[in-house]
Amino acid sequence: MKKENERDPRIDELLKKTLKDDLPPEVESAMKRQLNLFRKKMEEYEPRRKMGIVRIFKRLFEINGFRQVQWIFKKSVPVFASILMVILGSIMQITGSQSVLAESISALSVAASVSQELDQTESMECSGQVFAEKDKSLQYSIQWLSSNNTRVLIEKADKIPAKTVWFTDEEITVADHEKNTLRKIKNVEQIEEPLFQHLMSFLSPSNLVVQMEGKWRLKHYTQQEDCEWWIFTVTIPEEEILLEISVDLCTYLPVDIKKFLRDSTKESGKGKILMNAHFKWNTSIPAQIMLPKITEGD
Amino acid sequence: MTAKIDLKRLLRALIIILIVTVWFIVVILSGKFIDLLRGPGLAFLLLGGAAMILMGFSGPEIGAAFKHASGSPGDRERLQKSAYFWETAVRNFWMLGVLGGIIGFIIALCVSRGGLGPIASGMAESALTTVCGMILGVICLVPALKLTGKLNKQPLPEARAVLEKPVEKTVKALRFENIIGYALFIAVMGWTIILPLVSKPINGPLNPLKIFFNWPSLIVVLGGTIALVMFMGDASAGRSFTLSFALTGGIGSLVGFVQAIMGMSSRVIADVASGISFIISSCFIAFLGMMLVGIPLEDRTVKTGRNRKGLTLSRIAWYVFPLVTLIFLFIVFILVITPIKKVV
Repeated sequence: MKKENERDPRIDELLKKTLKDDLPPEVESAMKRQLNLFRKKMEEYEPRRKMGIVRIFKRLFEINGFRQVQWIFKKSVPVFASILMVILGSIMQITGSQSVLAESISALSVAASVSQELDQTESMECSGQVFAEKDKSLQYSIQWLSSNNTRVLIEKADKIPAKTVWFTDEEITVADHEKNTLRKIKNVEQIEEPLFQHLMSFLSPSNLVVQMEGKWRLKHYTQQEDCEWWIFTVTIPEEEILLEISVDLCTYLPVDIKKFLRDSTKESGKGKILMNAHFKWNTSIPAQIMLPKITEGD
Repeated sequence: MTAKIDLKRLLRALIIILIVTVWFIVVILSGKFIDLLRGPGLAFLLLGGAAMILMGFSGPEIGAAFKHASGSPGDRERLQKSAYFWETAVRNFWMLGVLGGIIGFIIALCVSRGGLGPIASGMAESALTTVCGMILGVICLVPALKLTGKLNKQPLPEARAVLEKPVEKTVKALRFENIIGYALFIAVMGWTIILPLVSKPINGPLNPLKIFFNWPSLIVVLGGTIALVMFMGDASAGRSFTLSFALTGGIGSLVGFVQAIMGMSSRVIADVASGISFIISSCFIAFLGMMLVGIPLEDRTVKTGRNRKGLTLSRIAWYVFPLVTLIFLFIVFILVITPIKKVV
């Protein structure tokens, strides 16, 4: 207790004198009791404050203290948890955990870009092989110009030219190198080459776009980080066929396409390979080879 | 005399119904607007609208609202309730239209075959639900305006009644209609989300939970909403939920937008796609939260006379947030079809 708060007999005397007739004796004694109790509490106050942890624990289990803890759990913990949720969600988003929707958007975005770029190409060269039993496999090369001129050269396995087909706006012309004939036909079925149907999707960029938008269904894709390529796997459900398309992310144009028979027993789904195609875009194609005629080079 | 007036009113209502029916038949038979009348989208709107009404109103209140809309007289308080009912119908169709648009958009992104044409047509189809929602909203706006006009014509309550402190009625516990409403809403949402993804699989049925609920955006929107509701208080009134969901949905969309733009500048497709999915998912979750938690609670509270003054902020959330979502969906479409070429 501080010195200035200590008992002053003079003040006591003054109070006694002043209040002498005002208070009845029982009230005065009650007041004295109260005053003594107050003094006692004040004297006890200092040592109690020094109790430290013990006091904190005691306070905690007092009814008022428990209420405070309850308040903390009622208000602060949910607020803290909710802020933690916001931070956790943001970190998950920044660290790049890809969702199914994001993957689908990525693939769709690339597919849309490929379809836009295909519409703007000026020329296309496509070469590859169509695989068949025994010696019936054939090699082919397709040249397409933006004026809608297409030339297809079909070679046998030993690189002997078999047929050259020219598609122009008006007609189809076929040069048969084995029979040494040049004839005009009305539709593709008259070409007399059973494996030619495999090439139909690759005759022009617009054919590729039609296939992409109408027939091919995206199955999954993988990104080749080292060469900036994306490999799309698409299916043609009605034909049980699987296609693997490699797209260059610098140009958004297909570089390679491989066609497989679908094999559900394998994890990749890829069965026997049917054909492959390698593409070159916007290269210069000599105009003279686009004219229908039999030349020695053919 | 009263019977004569009732017969006249009934006849007038029948004539209006007949004219509207004939108009719809002519529109359908003309075949020009057949693309607008998509069965699943329309069913989603009508069933969803019914569910939302049932979540917030009781059977007698719904009946009274229809009676008042057809011209039956009523006291000021009841007319006020009916006007609010029709206003909520406008809001419900508007919000359901946009929600249907988001759902259609997500489905289009997941089941599209690739190429610009299919993406564009898928997204245009999803926008049809929004258009239908807006049309239905405009139809419900007619009785809402009519009843508000009627309320304005009525004499104001006496000064004594205004000065007296209004007795605040307590919000009653959930009624049977409300529970039916919640069940119907959940069923409609489940049907709309699950059915198209299971019936149009790319490589086996897709998991709707994985597609519609992007974990980061779910955590951010829920966490943000809980924090805001704790700060705002009065969660039982529903207003804080409505505002919090709208705010966190809007913030989530903005965060996703910033990420997508950053991805565009650094030419990383994965980042752009991640940002886009965050935008869409944040909007979707915020919509679901608003419609399933905030709005029904608020509707039930407003009817008791509480919270009426705070409706302005809620109205902003009801009408502006869907508009912002529509703008974001348009931006998403542009982002999806914009090629991000790698620089050699």
